[in-house]
Amino acid sequence: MLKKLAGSIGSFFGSGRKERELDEELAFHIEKETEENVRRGMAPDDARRAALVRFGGVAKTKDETREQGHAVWLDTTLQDVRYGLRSLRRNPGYAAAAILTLALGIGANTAIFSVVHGVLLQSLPYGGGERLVRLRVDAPGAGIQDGHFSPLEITDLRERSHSLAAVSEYHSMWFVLLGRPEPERVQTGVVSANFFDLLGVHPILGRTFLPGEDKHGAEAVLVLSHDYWMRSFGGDPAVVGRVFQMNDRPHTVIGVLPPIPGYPENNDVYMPTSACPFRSDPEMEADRDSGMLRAFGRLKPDAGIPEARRDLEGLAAQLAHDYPKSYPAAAHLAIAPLPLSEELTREARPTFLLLFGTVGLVLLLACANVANLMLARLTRRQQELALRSALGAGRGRLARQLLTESLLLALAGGALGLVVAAAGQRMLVHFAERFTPRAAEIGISVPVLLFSLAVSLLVGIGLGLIPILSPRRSLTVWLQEGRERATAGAGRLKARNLLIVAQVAISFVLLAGAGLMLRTLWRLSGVDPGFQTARVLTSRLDLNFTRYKTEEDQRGFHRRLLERLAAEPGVLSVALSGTIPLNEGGRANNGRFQIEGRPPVAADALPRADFQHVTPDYFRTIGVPILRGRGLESADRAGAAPVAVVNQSMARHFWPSEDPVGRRIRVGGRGPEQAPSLTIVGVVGDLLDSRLPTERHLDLRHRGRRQRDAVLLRAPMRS
Amino acid sequence: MTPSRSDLLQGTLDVLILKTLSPGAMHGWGISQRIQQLSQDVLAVNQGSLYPALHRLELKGWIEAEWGSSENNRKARFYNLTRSGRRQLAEETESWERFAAAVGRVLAAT
Repeated sequence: MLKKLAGSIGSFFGSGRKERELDEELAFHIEKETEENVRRGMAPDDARRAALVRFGGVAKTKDETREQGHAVWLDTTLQDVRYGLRSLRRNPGYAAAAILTLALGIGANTAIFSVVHGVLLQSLPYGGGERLVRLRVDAPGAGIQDGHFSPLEITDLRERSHSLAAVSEYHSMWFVLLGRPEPERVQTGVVSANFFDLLGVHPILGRTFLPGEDKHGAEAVLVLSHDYWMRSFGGDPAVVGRVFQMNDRPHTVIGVLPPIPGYPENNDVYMPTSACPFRSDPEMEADRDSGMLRAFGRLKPDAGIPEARRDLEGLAAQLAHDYPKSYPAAAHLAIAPLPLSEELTREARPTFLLLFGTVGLVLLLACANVANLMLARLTRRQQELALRSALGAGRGRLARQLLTESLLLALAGGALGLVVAAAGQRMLVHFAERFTPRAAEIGISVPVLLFSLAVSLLVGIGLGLIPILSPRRSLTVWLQEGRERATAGAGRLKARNLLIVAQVAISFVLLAGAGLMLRTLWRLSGVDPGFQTARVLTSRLDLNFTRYKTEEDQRGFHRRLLERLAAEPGVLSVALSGTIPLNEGGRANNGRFQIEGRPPVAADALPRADFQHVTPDYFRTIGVPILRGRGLESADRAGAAPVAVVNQSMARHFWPSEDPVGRRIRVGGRGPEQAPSLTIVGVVGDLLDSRLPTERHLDLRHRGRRQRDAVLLRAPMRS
Repeated sequence: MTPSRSDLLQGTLDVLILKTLSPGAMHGWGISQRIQQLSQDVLAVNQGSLYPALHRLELKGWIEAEWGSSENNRKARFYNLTRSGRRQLAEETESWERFAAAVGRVLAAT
């Protein structure tokens, strides 16, 4: 048996031994023939020639002999497949159960692999993506974490860094686009002219920005995102050249982007910095401290991340030295490069790898189930196999048969699994969108198909080996038992017991994981946000900056809006606030404050608090109880003595044994000394803003002037 | 009268080899001689197809080969019938006889 195996392995690899043996064998034949001819009376030379003539072509014979191997192999394989199909057809319940189980296991793995491949393995959809970095600025001493750059700082990065070949800035705002049947709020990426060149993104229509289009006085132009173009213009190529009104000036569409990740944000349109009334404001451009921008860079060919890191550290030190007023030493200004590939997948990586591990366990569990089914079926087939063995099927042949059957099952399961994966694709993409802008790149591509095939083959071979390897005693002994009509061997039972132990263990791990996830979900859904969301309607409001330039203009508009809304039937109360609680971008401002009458402390040791500006009916509208004192009233308007309301946690923390009502604090501004003094008039219940334990923070928000307002309405119980 | 030599149908050679081996082990040349002899020189084994056939039968597990020494002490490869080979021979013999009898009956009728 071993010798035979070695022989066939040898011939498989074309080894010389088999070849030599054939040579010897044929030589022997010809000699024998020659001897015979001599015996009949031929001369030795003639005898040999006659023998060779009679034999025909030696080389041809050798070729034909070798070919028998392939022919027999193909023949046996086809026979195995035919036999396997027949045997599975005879047992449709077993086949269906095994195929469905494997389909779920392989399908889940294929689906998750498509995510891992699309998001983590595939290279970035940007030209030369590995040289792209996002620049991160921190000033831990000033409470700035992953902050924003000011226009002057962007210029510094561009002119004073040595490791960056190009620098581009980015921020995003909501503007109203006019010129379509209805005014449309569009999220607008405001970028340097070189933004798309830096990312290596080429438009599918028209062009992107030209150098100089971000300079003052340039015509306002727009580039549409692929998604927005499809959504609002139905993919009409005639959109290039159309003119729309934004911010009271005409904007010409010059191009459409390819489908790229919605990164840094899912913008509808892009404009150069010169077209943004906010960003091109001379006051803004001259203010070193008005951070509102993100910065991206492309490394020079000879610079890597470590060089860039050192270079930017040096630059930060220089800036701190040159502008001590903006960057006091205690603030610890730091600028660092982050590779864009990590940036795009940072949140997704652990989640997806965990998921990949989980579906791996699910597949193992599916395999254990199918293996169990197989072993059970094998016990029933013992007699059939014993009969086949008695009829002359070798042990290897039987093993091959079992392997073919399990491969058939696994491949069928894999094919069905692809259907499962394709069906779950939409859901997965939707899920992945919450973690990474690269979600749109997820799809069933060639590598995913190959992965699925490889997993199927692996599962098939693994399952096929289990019945062959599992019994302690050899297959031969087991077949003997079958002949003697014995019952299932003890070794096989042992194998099944082991399988059950494995199944229970894996199920336990999966159950525990699922239980933990459920608990987190349950806790999240059970969190009391401190306000009542029922019957509260919210809406975002973006005023046109060019029209409502001054605070008085804005206040006038707000007052008129609130009056009109409050007069509507069905509206119980209406209020304005800077943010909507627990909403994306709903983070309040955060700043240091000082309690009057307490001993003075250093500026960077002052306590911090979240704060926001709201209109009087805010607490009533959102359903937050007033615990002490009073809420805000319409008399507390601009010009009146400034007042504030604090929440319960703040009251307990800073005034543990006193009544905070009547105390005074100073909040915000450049330094607490210049900030207006506010009188605390009331204490309200705690309200969770954006601080649910797992709520993620939106990275980009504007520290500059307040741009967005939110309207909150409370409707009566039966409206 | 010289008997006309018939070419062997593929498959027929296989069963003849199996039959030839049924008394005991034999090498390739011996098999070809024996077939010719038993068929009284009617069946000539095309030697170019003998070795592929032996190889095929070996791969199918019907015969097995081992090296031994020939009558005059030379190294030769001897073939032996396996159990499944024996079964195959029985099957093929039976079907051949059925076939031959059927053809015979058809020919006798005309």
